[in-house]
Amino acid sequence: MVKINLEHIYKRYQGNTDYSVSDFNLDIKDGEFIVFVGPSGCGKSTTLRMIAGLEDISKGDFKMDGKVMNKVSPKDRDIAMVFQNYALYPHMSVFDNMAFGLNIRKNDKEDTKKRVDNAAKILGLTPYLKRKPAALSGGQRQRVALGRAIVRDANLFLLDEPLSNLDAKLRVQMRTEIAQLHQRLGRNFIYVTHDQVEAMTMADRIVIMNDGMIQQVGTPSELYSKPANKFVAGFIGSPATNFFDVKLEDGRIVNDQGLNIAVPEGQMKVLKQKGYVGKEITFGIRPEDVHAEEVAIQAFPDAIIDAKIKVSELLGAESILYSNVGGTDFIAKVDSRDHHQPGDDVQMAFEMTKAHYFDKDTDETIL
Amino acid sequence: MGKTSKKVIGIVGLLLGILWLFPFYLIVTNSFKTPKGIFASVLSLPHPSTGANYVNSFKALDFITSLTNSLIITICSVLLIILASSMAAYALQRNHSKLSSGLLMLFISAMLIPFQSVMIPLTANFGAVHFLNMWGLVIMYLGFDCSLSVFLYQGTLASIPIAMDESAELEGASRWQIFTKVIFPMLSPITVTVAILNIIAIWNDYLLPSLVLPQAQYTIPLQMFNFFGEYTKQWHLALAGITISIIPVILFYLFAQKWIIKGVTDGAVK
Repeated sequence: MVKINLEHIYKRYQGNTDYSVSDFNLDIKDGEFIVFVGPSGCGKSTTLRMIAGLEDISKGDFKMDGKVMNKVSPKDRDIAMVFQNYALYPHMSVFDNMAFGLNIRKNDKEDTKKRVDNAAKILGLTPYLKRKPAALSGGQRQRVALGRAIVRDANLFLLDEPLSNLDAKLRVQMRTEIAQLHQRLGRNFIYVTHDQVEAMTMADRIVIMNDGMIQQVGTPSELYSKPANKFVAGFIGSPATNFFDVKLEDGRIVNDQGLNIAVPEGQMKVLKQKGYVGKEITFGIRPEDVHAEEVAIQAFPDAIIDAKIKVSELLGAESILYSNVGGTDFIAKVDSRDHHQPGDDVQMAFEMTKAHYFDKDTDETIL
Repeated sequence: MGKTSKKVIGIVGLLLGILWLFPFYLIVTNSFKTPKGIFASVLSLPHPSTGANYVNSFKALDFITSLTNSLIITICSVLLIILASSMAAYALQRNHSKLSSGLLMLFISAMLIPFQSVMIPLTANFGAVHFLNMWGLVIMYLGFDCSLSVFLYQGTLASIPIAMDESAELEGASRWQIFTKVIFPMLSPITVTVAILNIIAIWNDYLLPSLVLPQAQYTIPLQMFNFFGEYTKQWHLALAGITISIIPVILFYLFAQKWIIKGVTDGAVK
């Protein structure tokens, strides 16, 4: 077990004027499963590579158990890493691939065999130990890459988009296996992904990044229910949050495209206190907080919109309805019983207690 | 592809195959003929057939000595070329500095220098340091043949993901261990190609050894020249000699060809 601190970490590549990672601060507790998530190019892999020692840190300190590790070589950091493309050694058998690190460190052969056999058993690789990577399926290769990390019994496991090359079904399966593996090993895991579903389902805490900066750190439920800004609200959740540019007038949010919704009293009080009355703000509502069932229409009479369905997707239990509301493309996730066909005129209601409000200039969450 | 096109391609392939095998037919059949038999008909099968050419050629070539010389020079040169060029290419490919790019360009442009333009000063300089022998020749081959080999290795190394190096580095491997235990084994197919190209060139080379080697260190091609005098040409012995001398190269090719067809990063990634 190890305590990890990233203090004001910056990364600027040679020849670049801008920082790829700026002021990254994070304390990781013992045995925590941390997920770095964000769009491509947001700096999450760069940060992971700095932790691994594969990239230099331009500014700031990376500490393990209080010791600054910036200049410590990767092999001395007691870190195991699983790469996006697995990076298996094609000329070695599965056993040799998994035993490579221990053999390099001249570990006792009996102990190496014991550890590889144990890891193979955990990952269901025992029948494949003599095979070469070329004779394995994608999922099996991914397991070998995980196995190679497990046998090292490192203090910190880094996983760089390890599931991105697998098909959807296998990805779901491996997601569960990695989560179970973390529980079993009790080590610190840092997992990088651009897939918010992976982040939400696996993480103890999520670090959401954009443009090289941390946008928010929190548990999956915190990020979902209390996003720090418009970016987080838009990134977490699928389909993404609907945003409307609106003006706060007479206790209602309105825009010149016909949107006119009453703001609940409690929310209005806060917005008033913060001086947003009469000002332009961004209003956000998640697709799942939009309802088309009759009960909801009656329950939220002040938050009703009229939409003409452009596209609809029936997913089984749910239906995704695409339309244009208040001049904005709008998505609603409703119960499949309320499924509608394209061209239908539908009345829907916003569950305003779950609405989000953002400052128009800073994109920071107001409420 | 239609049936007719397949047939046409098959026939063209067959004809090309025959064309390429024809020199072997000439060499092997004529090596069993008497001088009179060769002049009577070059194309016919040996009749009467004689194995005496091989015995005489074996003696005239001082075959064991010249074979040993050829083997020492070829094996040492090729091993050094493989070692030096693979390591140089690895360093140049993985190091993204301007100096590396410049050095690589220098290697590539060295391929364009004609050997004939440097052979006189080269032999003069080697002679000045008393290095006109088989070891001097090995060093010369190393210098001449590294450029193409570095170029070939560099291309293959570019297709090996850097993650392979990084993964091994995190596992605790030193730079040398990464190269020897991870990268070099993945270069096997191109190593075999480099070996074959250089073995054929060095094994058959005549000009450079003729300038460098003392008589006691003559290779097979140099000894072969003894069969071609000013007035007489002993084709029957020369062809028997050629048949014996190409056997090692063919054996190596047959042994090595299974490595050539293997994919370089088969199963390494994705």
